[in-house]
Amino acid sequence: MKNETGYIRPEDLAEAIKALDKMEGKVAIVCGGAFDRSALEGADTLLDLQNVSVEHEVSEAQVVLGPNATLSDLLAAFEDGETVKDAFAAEAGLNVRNTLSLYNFLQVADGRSSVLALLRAMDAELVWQPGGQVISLERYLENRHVDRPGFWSKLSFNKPECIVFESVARTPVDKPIVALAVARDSDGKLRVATGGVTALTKVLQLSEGADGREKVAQAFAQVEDTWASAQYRQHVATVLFERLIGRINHCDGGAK
Amino acid sequence: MKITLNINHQFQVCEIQPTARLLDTLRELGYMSVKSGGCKKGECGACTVLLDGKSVNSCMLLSVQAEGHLIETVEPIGQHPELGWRKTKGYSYLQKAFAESGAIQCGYCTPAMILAAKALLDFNLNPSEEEVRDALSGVLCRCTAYVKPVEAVLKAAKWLREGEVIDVNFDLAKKVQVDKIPETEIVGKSEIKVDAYKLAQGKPAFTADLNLKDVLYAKVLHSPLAHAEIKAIDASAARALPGVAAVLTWQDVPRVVYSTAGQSDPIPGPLDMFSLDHRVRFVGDRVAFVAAETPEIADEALKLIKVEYEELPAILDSRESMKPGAVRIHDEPEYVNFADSDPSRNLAAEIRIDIGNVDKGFNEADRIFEEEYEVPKVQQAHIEPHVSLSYWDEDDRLVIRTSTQVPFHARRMLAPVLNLPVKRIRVIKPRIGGGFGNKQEVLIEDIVGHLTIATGRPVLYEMTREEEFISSRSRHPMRVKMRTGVKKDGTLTANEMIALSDTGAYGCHALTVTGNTGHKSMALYVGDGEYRKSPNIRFYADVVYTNTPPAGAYRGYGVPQGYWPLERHMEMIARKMGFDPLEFRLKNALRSGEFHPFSTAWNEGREPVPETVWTVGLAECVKQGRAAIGWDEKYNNTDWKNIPGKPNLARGIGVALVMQGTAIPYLDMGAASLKINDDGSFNLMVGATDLGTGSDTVLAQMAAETLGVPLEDILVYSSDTDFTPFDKGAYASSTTYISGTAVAKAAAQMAEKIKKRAALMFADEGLNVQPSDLKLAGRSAVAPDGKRISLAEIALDSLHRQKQEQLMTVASYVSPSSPPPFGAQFATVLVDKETGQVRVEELVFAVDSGVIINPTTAKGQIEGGVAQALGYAVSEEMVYDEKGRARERDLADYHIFRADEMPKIKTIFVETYEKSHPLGAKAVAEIPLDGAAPAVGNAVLDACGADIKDNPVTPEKVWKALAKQRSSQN
Repeated sequence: MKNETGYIRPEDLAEAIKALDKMEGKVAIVCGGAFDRSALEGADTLLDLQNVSVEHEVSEAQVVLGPNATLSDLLAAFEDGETVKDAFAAEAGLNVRNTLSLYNFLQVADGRSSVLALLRAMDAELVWQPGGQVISLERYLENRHVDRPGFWSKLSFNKPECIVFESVARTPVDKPIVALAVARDSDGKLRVATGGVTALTKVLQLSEGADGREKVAQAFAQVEDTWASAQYRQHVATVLFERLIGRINHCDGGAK
Repeated sequence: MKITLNINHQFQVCEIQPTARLLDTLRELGYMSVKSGGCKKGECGACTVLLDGKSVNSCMLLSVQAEGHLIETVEPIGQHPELGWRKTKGYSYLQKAFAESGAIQCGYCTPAMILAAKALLDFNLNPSEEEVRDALSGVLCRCTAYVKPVEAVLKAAKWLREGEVIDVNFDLAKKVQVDKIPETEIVGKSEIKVDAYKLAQGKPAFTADLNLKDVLYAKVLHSPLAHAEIKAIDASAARALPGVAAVLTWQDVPRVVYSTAGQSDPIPGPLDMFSLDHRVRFVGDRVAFVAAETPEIADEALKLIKVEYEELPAILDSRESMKPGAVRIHDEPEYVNFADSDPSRNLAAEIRIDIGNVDKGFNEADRIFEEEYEVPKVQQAHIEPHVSLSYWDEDDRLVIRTSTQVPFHARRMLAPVLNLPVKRIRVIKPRIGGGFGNKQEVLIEDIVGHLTIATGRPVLYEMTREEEFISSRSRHPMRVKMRTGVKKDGTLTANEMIALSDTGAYGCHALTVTGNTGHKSMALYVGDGEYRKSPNIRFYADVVYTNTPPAGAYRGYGVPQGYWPLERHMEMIARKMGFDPLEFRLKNALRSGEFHPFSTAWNEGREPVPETVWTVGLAECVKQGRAAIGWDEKYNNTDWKNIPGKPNLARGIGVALVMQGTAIPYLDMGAASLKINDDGSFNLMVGATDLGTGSDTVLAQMAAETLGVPLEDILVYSSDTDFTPFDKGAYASSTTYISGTAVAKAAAQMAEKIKKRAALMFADEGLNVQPSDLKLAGRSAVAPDGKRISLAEIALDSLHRQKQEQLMTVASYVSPSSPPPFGAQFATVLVDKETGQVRVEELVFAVDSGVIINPTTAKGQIEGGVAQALGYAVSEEMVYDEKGRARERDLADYHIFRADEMPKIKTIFVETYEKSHPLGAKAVAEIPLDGAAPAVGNAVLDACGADIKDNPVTPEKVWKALAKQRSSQN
């Protein structure tokens, strides 16, 4: 019979790192709502990060949030972004936005997540512990299901000059079938994150003014599932892209 | 591990596993207001609690994480103002507002909604509607369409800002009276639901809320294959697992063939199922039952059951079922046919109805229109899953406390399956957290029954949300061919519907649901002129088996499947022939005094009995709905349809006319009993099953009206097979009509008894009056001269003083008629022509349901029904892959509408007086399911020309239809 799972709630980040270093066997990181119950299965120890707080920093230029920040906290960083608000509404109802920590969110979010599309478009970064290494969100997503000891302690992104979001779904807050988030940085470069399909598609980097239609369509070329055909997604993606480009050209800094 | 939780400002020490969910811990501690909803994935929000003041899903939090935080549940926020000698502060404003606004239907999600609202109002006393909707967005409700919960929160906020307004201001639906309606005191008033405060307090009223000692938890092993023979099954390892009390396979339980369809005897369908079988017929079919000390152990045991399958060819497309050489899904020798079922052809039911001379009608037509349509399988998605608890009582009788719409049918049907006589089974129906037909199925009661028999212990089985999707019941998907003959003047000369209905692996409700598809839809349009006297209508249907999860009863019961093709077809004809869509429909629609055409030809396998339809408020429904939606300003108005500056967007308006039925004539019976208590109050015992509809309240109103007492003096109890009279249960829109008539009769009998005794008592006082001279009013028997004797005095006299007797009555009712309600459903939509995305902007439903007994609960029925129909219109469907595996397994992929995305919904009651009911009522519960989908489909057509033949109207379908339209134009 397996021993009872242990539970540790460190008081701060340093203590958490120290505790992690000492732990043997399978460690499950607990941080906010446990939306990925499978991560708890067979765990020898639960390491609860709820006290590992990072001061939320929301400035004109940057957003920094800790792993315990909820989706509601993230939404609050975009006070003026109406389309961003839509993306959050489509993501989940208020309960989940209050419960789901960013840590858990990034563990479970798939390509149909509107909010993940936003974060990817903004090129978010994470600080990995132990070690404090800065890794891109993209890299984290590629490796998140690899069993490795550690956790991220900080998520940050520079606020783009502008970020816009559009999606198509069966109902106003249903999961999108096609979603696009486009961020423009101060150099005028565009980052386009596509969504609406379970698998994560590549983030596109475009020079402003460049015709991204083809690239966006290409991103959906092989994306066919029971929710929509690739042909439909390609068409709609280009329509949404053109709309977003039109909006971003008239953008007054919606992200800020 | 031991933790201390601060629950409602009280510290509680508890011993838990570190991975225990807060939801489970709270329920183990007795906080039964926190519901599971079966998802345990943060989807439904029924488990909402406040954590440090914010609404969160307790299913997603570990109990250990909650240590050090304030957890709030609904239990302490308000209570009855007078608890005997102890006076309390009374109910909270939110509880009052929810109760008074009619925001509570089944009440399963009510504690969660109240907490979500509290979290909002605790920091914002003046929220906008949008903010309220956002606050409620984490709690799914399948009953209310969120209309009244939003009103309740806004009302509570107002009270909190400005003080409580004594005058209850219900937001009533518009009422228009077509017939003269007699004046009444209690009937016709928006009385607060009799169970409202119980539910607003989160009292342990539901099946799983009974916390029995020594209870075992059941789990079911489901088939991973669509069709297979079980060659071998080895449960030894599972049985050996510590904590496992029983594992049952097909080798362990009696092989008794039955149907899960909860219907009157004899069940009008084939008997084709066993509790457990050596053949599995769909992905999700039952393979084994486990009972264990904890749900986790039971889950672990399931993994240890070794099953060797021999996979068989599977039929996943209904068009393949009857092809020569198709694999036979039911070849068991025990199969019992009903009517024309033929398992050798995979045919669960066959319907052939010809009314008039259809071929002659087509010959007389100027034009004939043919088209094919398709409707999907959809799920009832009640928030409380199927849940049953069984135990042996002290008399060795099996008690089954279960969330069922049909307690009496359940008892009768379970008896042979469990090898117990009926008299040794007692079925108790507590409150039900929604059913919508899915609990008209005797679906899981046998599982707990078998396991209690096997172990001798109480057994609880609550389905998970995934199990609801893969192994409960659903609406029958159908392919429907329409053919309609029309004269140049718009007269229908013949109308034909040919349906291929997919019952899935078992034939529960196969005949009757599909029969309704034609019976209730094709009866609406009879033609005009001579055709009106002898309409030409054909309805043929094959109901076939496939290796998919069984379909069954779902609110509307086959009728929405009929109205999608019919009303899309009528729209197409009107447009192609240049008719006004409203005038064309009304010209051909059934009118008062005409035979229900199908009553002359079909009666669910029994002898048809022609029936005249007397109350038809359809024309007034059209008039009222037309005005409310602004039809005349919008239809064919390009200024309204086009959106300035947004050429990709277009608005459209659509309509669908509908009719339903009210109960099943000559078959289904309801009964009620009444007895008077010492204080002149009454116990009303009904077998009728309030599944959140408010039927307990409506039935009590009818009794109160006759007995001259306020509603609070009627103590309703429903239902318990030991104590309440028989009732067929809650289905077929029958409770107000059938059970209500039984209640009215019992009340009339009681009134007579009271009057007789009162006359004797008046005589003792020297006043000679005849019982017939007395009236019951104001809790008294009132003589013509105004003298009165209170009902309390009459009760005391009868129980204690002279010629003692218990004044008690019982009455039952079977109806010789099924008066249809009628409705006109209007919709407006906004379509993005570039993406195909559809947004429904407004839904208006004008309905003739006879006299409305309780406007608030009736309006709630309409709103909730329309919301479900809205899902049928644009988003809900169940899709299977090439192996028969379900795509939709949770409420994330199976999206039901949330509070923050609802369109405007408006209800108008057009009151006729249906003389076959003692108070003039007809049905209200199912008809709102019928029209929204075709009205939306027609509105999309109006907006952009996209003619979608199969619902739901999804973005890609619209896009494809527009592309097709463009290519045909080029």
